[in-house]
Order: sequence, then C-alpha cells, then structure tokens
Amino acid sequence: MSSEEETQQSLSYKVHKSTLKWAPVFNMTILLSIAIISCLIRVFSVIRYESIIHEFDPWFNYRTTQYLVKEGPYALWNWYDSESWYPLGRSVGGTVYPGLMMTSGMIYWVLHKLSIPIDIRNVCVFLAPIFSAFTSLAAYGMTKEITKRSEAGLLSALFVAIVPSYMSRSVAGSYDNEGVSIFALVFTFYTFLKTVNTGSILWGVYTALAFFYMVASWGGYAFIINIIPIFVLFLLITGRSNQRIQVAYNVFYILGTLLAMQIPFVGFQALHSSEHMASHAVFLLINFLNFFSWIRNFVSKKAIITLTKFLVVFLVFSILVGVVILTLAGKTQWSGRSLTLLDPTYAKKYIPIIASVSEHQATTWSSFFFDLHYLILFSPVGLYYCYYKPTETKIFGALYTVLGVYFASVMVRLLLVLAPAVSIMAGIGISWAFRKFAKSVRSFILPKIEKPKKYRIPPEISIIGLVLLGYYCSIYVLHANFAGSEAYASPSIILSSRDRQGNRNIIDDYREAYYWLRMNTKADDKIMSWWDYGYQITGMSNRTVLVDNNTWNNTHIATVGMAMASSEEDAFEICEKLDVDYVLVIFGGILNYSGDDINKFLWMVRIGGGVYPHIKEEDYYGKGTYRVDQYATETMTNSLMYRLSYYRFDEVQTAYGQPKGYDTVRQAVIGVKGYKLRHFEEAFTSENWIVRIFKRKQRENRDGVAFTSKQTSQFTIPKETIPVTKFSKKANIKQRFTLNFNE
Amino acid sequence: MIIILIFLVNLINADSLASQKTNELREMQLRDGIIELNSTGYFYYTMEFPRPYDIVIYFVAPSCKLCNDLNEHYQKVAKFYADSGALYKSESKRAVFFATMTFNDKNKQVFEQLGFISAPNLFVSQPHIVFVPQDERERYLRDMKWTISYTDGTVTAHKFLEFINKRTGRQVDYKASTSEALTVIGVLLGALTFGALIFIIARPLFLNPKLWFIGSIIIFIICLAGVVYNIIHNVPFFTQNNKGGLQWKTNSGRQQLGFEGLFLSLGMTFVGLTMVLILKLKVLVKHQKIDPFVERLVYLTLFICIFLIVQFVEENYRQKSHYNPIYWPPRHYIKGPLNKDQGNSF
Repeated sequence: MSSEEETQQSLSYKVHKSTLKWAPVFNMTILLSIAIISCLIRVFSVIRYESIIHEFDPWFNYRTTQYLVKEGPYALWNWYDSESWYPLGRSVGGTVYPGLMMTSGMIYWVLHKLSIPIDIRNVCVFLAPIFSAFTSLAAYGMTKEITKRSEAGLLSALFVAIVPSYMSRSVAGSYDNEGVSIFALVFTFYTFLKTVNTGSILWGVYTALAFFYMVASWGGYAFIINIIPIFVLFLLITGRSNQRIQVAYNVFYILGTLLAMQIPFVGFQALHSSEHMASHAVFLLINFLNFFSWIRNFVSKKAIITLTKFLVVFLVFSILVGVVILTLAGKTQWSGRSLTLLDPTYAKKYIPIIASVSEHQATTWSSFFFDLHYLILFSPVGLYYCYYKPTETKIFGALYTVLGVYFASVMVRLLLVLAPAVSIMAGIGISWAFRKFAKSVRSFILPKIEKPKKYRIPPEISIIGLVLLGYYCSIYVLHANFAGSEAYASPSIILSSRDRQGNRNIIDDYREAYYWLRMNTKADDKIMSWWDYGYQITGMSNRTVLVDNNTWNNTHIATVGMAMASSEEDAFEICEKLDVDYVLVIFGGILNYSGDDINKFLWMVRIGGGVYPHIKEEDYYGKGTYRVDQYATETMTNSLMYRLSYYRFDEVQTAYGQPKGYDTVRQAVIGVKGYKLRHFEEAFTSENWIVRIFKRKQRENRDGVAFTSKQTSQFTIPKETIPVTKFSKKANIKQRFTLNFNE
Repeated sequence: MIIILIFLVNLINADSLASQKTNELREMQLRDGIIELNSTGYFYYTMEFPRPYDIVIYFVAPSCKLCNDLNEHYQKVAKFYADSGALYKSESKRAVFFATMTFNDKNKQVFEQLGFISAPNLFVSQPHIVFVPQDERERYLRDMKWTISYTDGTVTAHKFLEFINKRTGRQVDYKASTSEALTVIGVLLGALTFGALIFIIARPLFLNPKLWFIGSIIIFIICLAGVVYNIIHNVPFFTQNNKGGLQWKTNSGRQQLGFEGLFLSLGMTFVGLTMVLILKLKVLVKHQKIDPFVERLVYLTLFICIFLIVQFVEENYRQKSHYNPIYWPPRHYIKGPLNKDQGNSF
C-alpha cells in the first residue's frame, strides 16, 4: 500500500469519525429543515393567489372560528346557527368537532396576549402548514419507535412532509379538520408505540390525551379506536401479548373513551356506537385473560385446561350473541359513512348523498399513484422489513399500512389516512436499502471499520442502487413540488387561466357574486343554492341559506334538489313555501368551467328522487344520455336548473365558429332558446357568468282565480263518521282562493 | 226538521257502511296477506265514500321482472304493518290495508286514471283523494305514487317502508324476522368456527411472519388495483375500442378498466418486491457458488427491471392525466403585476 493511499484512507477514516461525532447535529438540522420545507411547500397557494380560505368546508370552519374568538368558547358551545338550514337552523355547538377552531382560537389569543395583532384569517390560513411541520416531527418519532433508527425516521419525516395526498388537505388556506387531525393521528400512534415500547403509564396518558385531541378534531378518530384494538387482538392471537401491551391498551382505552365522551358531538356514542364495539370487546378480553392467568397460579393444571375450554367457548359465544342481539335490536347503529367502509357498495345503493361527494368515490390505481407516487412502489420493502424480524411496533406499522390501504381503496379521501403509513413504510424500506448499499460501499472504502461480510451486495452494484434510489427520491420531491404548487394550490373560489400570450388572468366570479349578495340583498334574505355553496354563501355573503355542506338533513337537501329539478311553476311553489328570495346557480358554459351545476344536476335529481319518487332520473335523459341540446327531454329543458342556467345564453357567442348559445362544457348548442322566465328575474350575473343569481318574483296579481287548494295533502281529515255532505262543506271552507296558473 | 232527520239517517248509514268496508278489507288481508283488487273493487273501496282507511296499492303488470322481484319486499312491508296493528284504526291514525292490482284489459282504466305508463307502481290511496279538484289532481297524485324503475337503485323493504310511513304518518320499522336473525347468527358462527378450525389446524403456519407478508401483499395488490371501484362501477375487464380491437385501459384520469387496474397494481407492487429481492438475493442463494460476473449481471437485470417498470407505470399515468415530475416553478410564478391583481379581501 503506497503512502498516498494510506493518507487517503486515513482521511476517509477521519471524515467517517467526525461525521459520526456530528451525526446528532446533522440529524436535528435535517429534521428542522424538513419541518421548514413542509411549511414552505404549502404556501404556494398564498404566493400564487392570496391569503384566503379555500374551497367549501374551510369557510364554515373559518366562520365558526370567527364566532369563537368573538364570543368565546361557551358561546360556541351553545351556538344555534339560524343562518343555515333555513328554516330549521343548526345547533353548531353540538354538531361540530371543535378541535380545529379551538386550536386557532388558542393561537390567536396567545399571540394577542403577546401584543402581536394578527388577524384571525391569517391564523386560519397558515394553521395547516404549521401543523404539517408537527406531523413530520411526529412521523419521525413514530418511525423511530418502530425501527429504532433515526435515518428511517428522517426519510419518513421527509416523505410525510411533502406527500401530495396530505398536501391536498393542508395547503395554506385549506382550513379543514384534516389539517390538524393528521398530526393528531400520527402523534397518537407515536405515543402509543412509545407506551408499547416502554410500558410506561405516563406515556399511556399522553396517548389518551393525543387521542382526545384527535376526537376533538376529526370524525376519522374511528380509525384509531379500531386499529389499536385490532393490533392488540392480533398480538393476543399470535401469542405476542405482554405486560407492556396491557398497560398501553388499558390506559389508552379507559382514559381515551372517557375523554372522547367529553366532546358533545361524540358523547355517549363512544359507548354504544358500533365503531367503538371492537375497543370494548378487546378491553374485556385482555383483562379477562389477565385475570385468568392470575387464577392459574392457584388451580391445578388439569382443572385449568377444562376451565380454559369452557371459558373460551362461553366467551366467544356470549360476545357473538351479544353483538348480534344488540345489532338486531337496533341498539347499535352503524353510521352511513362507516358502513361504506365495510360494505363498499352500501352508499351507492342506499345513500346517494354520500355517493355524490367526489371525495367519497372509490379509488382507482391512478389516484394512488398521483397522491402517493413512489411511496406506494417502495412501501412493500418496508412491509417486508417489518415482517422479517417482527416486534410489536413493527407489527403495528405493517397493520396500519394494510388496513389503511384497504380503507383508502374504498374512499378517495381516506388516502389521507394511508399517506403517513405509506410514508413511514417507504421510509423504512428505502432507508433499509440505503443502509445495505452504504454498508457494502463502506466495507469497500473503510475495510477496517466495516468488516466485509459474506452476504454483502457487491460495491459497484451498491453504487448503482444508491444512485437509482437517490434519483427516485429526488423525482418524488419534484413531483411533490409540482403537486403542491400546481395541483393543490388553487383555492377553487378563485380560478386562474392563462391566455395566448401567457398572461395569467384571475377569475374571481365567486367572490364578485358573494360580495354582490352581501351588499345588495336584505340582511334576512334567503338564498337557495345547491348544498356545495352553502358554507361559502354564509361565510362570504352573510346570508341565510337553505342547505349547506353539513348535509345532516337529507330530506331538506332533497327538497332543494326537487325545486331545481321541477318546472318553473312547481319550483316557484316550493320556493315560496321555503321563503326563498334568491336562487343561485353556478354556470360554466361560457368559460368552459366543468364543475358547474348543470354537471352536478344529475345528483340533484338522484338525491331529490330518493325522497320524492316522482322525480325520475330517466326523465332527464334524452336519447339515452344526459344532454342539453335539442334532443334533451322536455322535463330537462323545463327544469328550473336548465331555465336559470341558460337564461339569455342564446344571446352570446361563446366559441369561434359556433352558433350563439353554444355550451363549451357540454359542447352542444342548447336546445331551447329565447324563453322568458315567469316567476324569477335575473338579479345578477357575474363577469364570466359563473355565478348567476335570480330573484323570486312576488306572486302575480290574480288573473285567473280558481277554486284550488294549495295543500291538499295536508288537510286535517275529519272523523270518519262525518258523511260526505258535511265533509265537503268543511273542505270548502278550508280551501283557499289561490291563483290558477293553468290559464 | 226533516233535513236534520235525513242528515242523521245519512250519518248512521255512513257509519255502518264505513265499518262494514273496513271489516271486509281487514278480513281479506288477514286471509290472503295482500288483497287482490280488480277495477270494481278499486272503485268501491277507494273512490266511494265513506272510506275511513288508507289503502296501499302495488300496481304490477304480468311478465314484469322487476315487479316480481319487489313483490317479496312488498309482502314483508304488508306484514310489518299488519303486525304493528295498522289494520285497526288508532286514535289519530287511519287503518292501513295493502292491496295489489295486476294490469289487464279490464282494469286498464284505473292505470290510465292514475297516469301509470310503466310498472311497478306503489300508490298510497287516502280518503281525501276523492275531493282533490281536477286541476290539483296531478300534483296530488304525484306525491302519492311512486313509479319504480331501475334508476331508483336497489329498492328494498326499507325504502318501501320509508315511502309508506311518510304518507300514512305511522312509524313502522323494519324488523328482521327470526329466521333472518338466525341466518345471520348462523353465518357468523359458522364463519367463526371455520376460522377457528383453520387457525387451530394451521396454527404454526399462521404464526409465520412470512405468511403475513404474503397476505399483506395480496391485500395490497387487490386494493391498489381499485377492485372496490370496479365493483361499484361495474367496470368490465376489457372493452373494445372503436376499431374493434381489444382495449385494456382508458385514457380518462378518473376511470379505469378491470385489467388495467390489476396490471398496474401488480407492476407497482412488483417494484417493491424486486427491491426486496435485490436486498435479500445473497441470503437466498447462500448455499450456491455463483460466478461474480453472473451475480453482478443478475443484480443489474433486477435494477433495469425496476427502472423499466417504473417507466411503464409513469408512461401509463401520463396518458391518463397530466404528469410532469421534472418540474420547477417557473420564473413568472408570481402573482403578476399588482394592477392585474383583482383580488378583494373580505
């Protein structure tokens, strides 16, 4: 060995040594940068648009938060919102997960106490990015609990920080429950695994507290309350249960359930809803087994065997019968959304309102690939690693991934729950591969430290492997960057387009229209629109709406759907009954904006038809397909939605070389032109026609008075003994003079 | 005086007729389960006063498949109603009877009157139908009838009950019969015993983490393939393209074909499995002596395999939707000049 080589070697040894020395510092620096990156990548929406609350649900959360900071927590608790679900109203305090609002309220109050006069809007806008930083830290901790390795933790933290699926729900402005609850989810798992590893009651208490935060912020807590019992059961079956597991589960279950009951929206559901059944059963089982093993010390071996047989049969049977009887008696209720998870075809059959929401659709392979990208490709490596030499925590990680993958395949939005699992698995897998490759390279360069072993991968192959994996990781980062800045940055109430010169145009029709409503209508006017826009109208226009995104009352939504699907005359009657002053429709025919009401119309028909069977979906199909052109059916062209959307549309030319009245979304010339509205008048149409608002006219003067009753179906029917003559007399008095519209 | 007398007689007559009709219907339903109406019966029991009861009528046509399929549910509902005491009037509610009418030339008139052009139909006939003025009639009937078709989705007894309850004002709930409950328990018990038996027989196998891995990967592949999506949307495995050839994938970003999902899911999982193979290859072949050159060739092939599969998956995704991973935010990536900013803050 020449002296030059020796010095080179000693240099590499030195580098190696000092790297080892500084490793913890590197570790922390990298983790910190990951946290910062996870914040920054989510701010594209503010840079490209502005600091504004996004989409639909966030507007409600924002409005509630405003109420909270203005009126205080107790007022929120008792808030009965009369501006939504007119005329029913909604008890917000009892039907909301307050975790998100409380969090931003806290931040707001603390900052104001520190004399930082930040606007509550900015707290709300930037809350999700900040929490995503916490999520990456929690993911680091969780991975470290699983593998005991920080490099796996760092990779997982990086992956989870920028995974597109999570980003879709947590960009700046996306002020939704998921923004904070994914952190709560990962943190709960982290503390739980910590308890499993240490068997410490204190960490068990932390788990329960983290779980409490999760319950307070998202309905997805059902995932935790099921996966942990399943995990414990799995360990019991495979004979891997021990004292630490018992401590972890008992503390988590008892405290967690008690704490969950403190949230008004959950309350006693924590005891009797089917989502919690697994946790009760496992709690009983684990303590029973514990008790049994204690008894074992006092009884002879033969007796024990008999006793075991008897007890196992008895226990299984009684649990089974108990559950079946409770279910049959209707004591436990499955909520529609949870049933969708167990029987994926349930929603399509029975609950159109759940099936209609795009985020409740089942997932295709392409959604998996776009939202999780290479993570989904490399998570089997992590799975293998976890199963190779399984420990309790590794089993938990693998179980979480497998269950998560199932849930995600049922509902697109549950990709969000899967995202941390897949990130952690891919992090574990890739770091394992990195480690193997690096070891082989190291044993080549530093043979003294890393002894060459028999099963090592050849070093030149390892370098190829390192390059390939490094390349894939960087592509993943770039893809996430793309997703964060292009795919998920749009606030969707502000749209942007690019013209031929490459200039960006902001399309601000929504806010224009909502502002118009705010300034030009009376404070107590009621606006009817499809439920998608309910939260935005109450949030931005401060006006009363009939239905909103809460969708708690299917019948009410169906009534609005029926109004939209009925003819103008019938719709007028319904609107009058419901006190509607304005009807708002979203129309994209001019701007080629495909998310408009005509495209959503079939869902209105379906949901309306679910409650009012006289609305038949097939009546809206012309020549077998859904269309708006000359072949559209009469029912379709007479419907209020059609009439309002295409009112005066035949006066404008929308596309070059096409006649007037050409709908750019449906790519067809509309079927009915030049019609007049009788009971509605156009009040406002936004710049690009995206929002059109129509005022309901007052009932016309009597022109053909007829002897008609308005609500025959709601007659009080006299006692059956009353003979015909008397009945009809009474009926005559009851009948009212109303207008006859059948001229 | 005479008028009052006539009135009283009328009253008593009507009273007796009413209870007579009610009794007749009740007897018929108790005997047959569901009353068969012909057109005479229809007019007598529903259109002639007095009629102090509601009649739910299920209008069917001969050789109508959907009618027959739903008949079973309808009978169940009738039974639920009868069991809950709806055959007798209660304080505020009228008695409810269940009847059926099959389309034929003689009762054509009834179908026409009610505006039925297809079958099956469910109709809740209430006493005040007689008084509905002609121009209100259409709207009234619309509320009371339900023309069932395939677009109504899966119609079950639950849906029938919901429809009828809303109109009769009664709250009759679905009750699983004892046999149904027993079936559920039986199936559950059977499954459980079966599972337990298998577990006891193959216990060592189940405790083997390798089996867990295989199981997990199978679940992984199935879920990734979007099998749930395929089931819900009834997606075929293959279709024909417009040239008549076999088509195995769609270009629409939100849709997929059965084979497409499975194939790409297999591909994606295969990447991970190949990686595992690379990492474990040495251990797998530890007993064989392999030429170093061949060994490196095998490794290289596996890497190329990974690379090509990833390429393939990306290529397929690119055809479905916009995909541009080599992306860097461009320079103009700012809001634009201030005067272009149309935003107004609330």
